[in-house]
Amino acid sequence: MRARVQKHAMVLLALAALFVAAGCGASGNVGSQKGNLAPDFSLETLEGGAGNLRDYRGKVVVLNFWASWCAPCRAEMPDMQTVYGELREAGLVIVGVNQGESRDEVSAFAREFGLTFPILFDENQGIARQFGVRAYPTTFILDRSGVIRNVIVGGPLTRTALRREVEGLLK
Amino acid sequence: MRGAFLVRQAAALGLLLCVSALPAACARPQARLQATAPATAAAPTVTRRPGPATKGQEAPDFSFQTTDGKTVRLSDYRGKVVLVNLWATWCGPCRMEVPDLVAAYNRYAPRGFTVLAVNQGEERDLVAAFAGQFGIEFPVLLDQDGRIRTNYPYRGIPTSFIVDRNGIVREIWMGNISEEAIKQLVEPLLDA
Repeated sequence: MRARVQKHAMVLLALAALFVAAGCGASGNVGSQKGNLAPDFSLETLEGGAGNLRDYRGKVVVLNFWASWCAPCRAEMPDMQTVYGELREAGLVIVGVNQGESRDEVSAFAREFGLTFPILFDENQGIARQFGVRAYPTTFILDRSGVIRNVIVGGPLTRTALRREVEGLLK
Repeated sequence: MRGAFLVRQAAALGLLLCVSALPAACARPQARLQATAPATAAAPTVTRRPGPATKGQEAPDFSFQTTDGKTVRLSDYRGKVVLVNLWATWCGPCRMEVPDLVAAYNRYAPRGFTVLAVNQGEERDLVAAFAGQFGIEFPVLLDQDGRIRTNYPYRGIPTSFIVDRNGIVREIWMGNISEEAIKQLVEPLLDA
């Protein structure tokens, strides 16, 4: 009788451990790989004030590391803006993380391309390093709970490709 | 007498044709595999591909000024293994790979390897200072209006194109490259 209770307890414990492990695997692991919870950060925004990644929790986030001197980054900006306009209401946000440029340069660029999504200043490219960015542009697709669902290295991303990345997550 | 001269000339011409055809034959294994193509495909016209740079195909030629004011063409390095690196000083991953490029260059230059670092859109002084700071001895080229992108439509920066001794693109590597990765990619080409 006692042996049976012990056996049941063991099975329950093992199950509990499995659940915990699965939970961690799904979203508890903070990191920059697909399946990881994206690390939070706080950076200054183009509008002024601090922008935190966690502010966008609940939305599908396109986290785009870019610079105006980077040709493929420039090339994908019009489509980024288009998709932002199309899907903002549905819960999409594009967060442009600028790499080391001045406020003047970035605001001129944003005006030129008519960018209206949030732009943050990663002045010493420390956040890019934290996200393991190996080339510019790199784009992370985050679901509504902040988990990295895809990492796209290089560009330019087209409107079609970008919509394909996010549409399933917006549902 | 005259006949013998003609024979000698013909032999010399034949030899010359064979020798000049040799690199083309070596360079294009795919073309040789498709030997069943119509006879017109065998015409010995050598045209330089304008681009885009594609793995397995001849690397489009380019020419830029170096930080020292010399004009350098990719085709000047035919016979060497060349790593064409598209980069900028502002780019973190590019800075990260510079020590690896320098180490690989120092190790393999005596065996016929070079790096051509094609800077994207920056001022000569800034680029020269950067090259000095990192002890770069390979040519640093200035592509001030980013025109290499026409024939080398890179998708991210940095990108490295590895070109073999026959001028064929053998690898396109996006993102920072390590000395170890260069070793894996370049050593077989140096031995070839």
